[in-house]
Amino acid sequence: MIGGFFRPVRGASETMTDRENEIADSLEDYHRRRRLGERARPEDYESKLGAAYEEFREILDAEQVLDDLIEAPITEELPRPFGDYTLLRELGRGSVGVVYEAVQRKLGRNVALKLLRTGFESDSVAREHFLREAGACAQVRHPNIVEIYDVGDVDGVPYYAMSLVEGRTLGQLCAAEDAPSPQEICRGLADVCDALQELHDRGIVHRDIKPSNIMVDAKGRMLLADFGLARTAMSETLARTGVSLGTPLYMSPEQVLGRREEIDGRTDVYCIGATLYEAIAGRPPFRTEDMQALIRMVLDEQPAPARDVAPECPVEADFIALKCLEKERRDRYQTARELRDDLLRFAAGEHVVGRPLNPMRRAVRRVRRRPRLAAAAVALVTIGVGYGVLRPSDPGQVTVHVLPDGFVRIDGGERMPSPVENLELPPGSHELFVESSGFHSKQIVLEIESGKSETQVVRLDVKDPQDPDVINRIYESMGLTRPTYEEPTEAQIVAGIAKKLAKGEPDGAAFEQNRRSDEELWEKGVGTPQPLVIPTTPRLRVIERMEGDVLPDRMQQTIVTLHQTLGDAQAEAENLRLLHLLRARVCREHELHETARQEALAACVGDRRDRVQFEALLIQRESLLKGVKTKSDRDAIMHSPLFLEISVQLAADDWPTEVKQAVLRQ
Amino acid sequence: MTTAATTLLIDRALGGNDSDRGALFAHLGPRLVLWAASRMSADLRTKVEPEDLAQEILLAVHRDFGQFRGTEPGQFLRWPFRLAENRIRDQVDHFAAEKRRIPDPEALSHSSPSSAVIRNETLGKVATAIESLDEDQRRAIQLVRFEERSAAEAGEELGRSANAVRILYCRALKALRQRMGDAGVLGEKS
Repeated sequence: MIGGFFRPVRGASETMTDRENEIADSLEDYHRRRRLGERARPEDYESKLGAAYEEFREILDAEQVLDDLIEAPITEELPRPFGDYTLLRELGRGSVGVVYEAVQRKLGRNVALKLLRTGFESDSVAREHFLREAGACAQVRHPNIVEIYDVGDVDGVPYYAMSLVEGRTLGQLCAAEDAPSPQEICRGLADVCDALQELHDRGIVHRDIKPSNIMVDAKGRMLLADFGLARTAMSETLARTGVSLGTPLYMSPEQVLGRREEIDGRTDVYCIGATLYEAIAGRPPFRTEDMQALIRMVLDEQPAPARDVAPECPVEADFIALKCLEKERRDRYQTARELRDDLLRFAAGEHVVGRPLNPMRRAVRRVRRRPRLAAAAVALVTIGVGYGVLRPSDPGQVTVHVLPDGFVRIDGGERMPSPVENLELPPGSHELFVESSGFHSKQIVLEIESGKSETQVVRLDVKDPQDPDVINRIYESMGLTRPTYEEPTEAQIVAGIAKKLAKGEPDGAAFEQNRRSDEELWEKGVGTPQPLVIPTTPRLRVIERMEGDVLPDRMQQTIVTLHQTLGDAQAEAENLRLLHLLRARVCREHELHETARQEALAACVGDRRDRVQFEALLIQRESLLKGVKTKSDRDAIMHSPLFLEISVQLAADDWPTEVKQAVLRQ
Repeated sequence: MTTAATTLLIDRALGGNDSDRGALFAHLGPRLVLWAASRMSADLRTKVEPEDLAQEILLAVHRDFGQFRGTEPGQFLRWPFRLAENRIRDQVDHFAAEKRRIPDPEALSHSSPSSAVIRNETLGKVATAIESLDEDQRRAIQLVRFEERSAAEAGEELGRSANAVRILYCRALKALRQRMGDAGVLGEKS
């Protein structure tokens, strides 16, 4: 047999052209942006793809046909009669409801008709809810609410008819060429808030406000459409919007957590904030492709100010949006009316009243919400390096209950293990001084109510004197000797983290190290407002993600494997590079470009031609150009020795192909 | 890649809320129908309606929902498609056996008229168009578009690199676009 060795390789005959690669890249990029909630349009790729654009469009056409079939009803034949109506075409669908454009035959008028979706007729809960919402909404007459004409039932299928608004959704309008100004948007949303107040007064919470649920008619009037018809706003949102928008991008923390009892008017305030944010920033407050990460962001992270995303965005509109987007309901505008008033102030060119929380207060709140961090915070306060938890600018009171078993509660929060041993103080008043490097010290008065009772109450009163003499006195006042603390090397810390991770334990040393780098960031004034002092530390974030399996499992696995396979010293060096790279990534994500560059530099050890180095070089180069405004500045940087050196390295031809491909695809 | 929407639906449904489960099934149903239709030959489709098959699969998933032990949404998503694949194979075998046993041309004409056609015309045409693609192209569309697998995952299944899958997928869609155009599903080429 001839050529027995030359077994045909599958697919070998299909050579891939650059053109095809480019199309595939564009397609991927297009979908990625859509998933992130950006306004990606096929035309965006026209200039990049040139002659291949036509092909790209064909591919999108074909995908569209598939998506229509996947998302749309399968068997519906329209038009079809439905009671007094004739259904003309489907406008949208949710998990339990479908909206049609329909003709009311007797009156000859076109309406939007919402039906309970087939399959849910016998679901008594869905049915009851549908009818109750419809009934409630029918009572509300407001010029900014889509009017309900008729509520009824045909052959057991409940429906209701509402006015059909000719116009565009706010989302469409903002994506269009003739997008309204921030003032116009705020004026319109003020009307919507007026309508919301009306609903809230009747005990109805909309729960699903977002740009695609606000209709803008021909006169520019904004109307609130589509009431909480689904049982949960969550399932409705998801089912209706499908792939491109189907994420809880506009959902409040209480909705994400599914805490129905906490959903009230302030939930809608949050959603208006998210809508406003998107309208002025051009993208939703949070975006990531990873659902768990998104949920985490909604629960834990402050959105970047809209003006960081869209520099031309007015500061005060930003304030309004950020105040609405506060995690805790009590920190938002308390009523739709309050929000409306501020929106109107802004539209009229007056100063707004609302401000987002100051970063310190937020940190305290956050610490109270998160037991593990809170435990660490107690540790910090108690051993006298309470940086970031309580600061002079943030007078207030924190009550720490120290329970007999050594556990603590902070401000009546959850019982948690006390990280500090021997917190036994006699009754009476104790003064503590807390210092953080580079900041004023502060005085804390500890009131110990009773040493005898079961519960020891430690009340920390934060006052605001400045006293330079510090840590030793703190220890003194507590009758403790100041422990000597040997700073671990970074390599030791990394090794520690890897080991703990392998065992699934959080790491105290890492936390301490994080706190330090956070201080550095803060001192440099990077990224203000840098709200979450403790948690946003790049490394802690990395660790959190690793623990939560959110950031790459792969990365975690790598570190652990390294440890198992290499000698400790080698593994530590590798770990260090990986961590530098991760930090560089995180810093880049947070637009801390100089920090990102430094981290990336640290990850570029030697002239290794591996993924870490390649990506680190890319980050370095990218961050050099970040924030450069003028062309001449840009040119200057691009001709600088550093930039050229990086470019030369990146262009070197000894990079393994798979390394470049893997990194670029990522 | 399993989309955010699907992931969240699965997460919540696994969390035990019935209405969330309903939403998940509503989300899965149509793609399962198209998946099945494009996996079945036209001949088989005259005997078994893809809608019925999809319904059957969803019922099975519903019934055994509590038994699902995985935690990964992607893992969950594979389940109904694997069931569908098995079910279709059973049907193919069943009808092949039947053909050998009873070569009765009457049998076909006795099947009810409604089961002889797919109720939605477009769906039938698209399914036929997908079914007529090369095996690999068809699999690429099914894996990437319907089952929401990442290029790397689909690559594992198809024995190709992730990049090859991305290209294969684009080619498949181009070919599909062509065939759908021929079948009159799309309007004139713009």
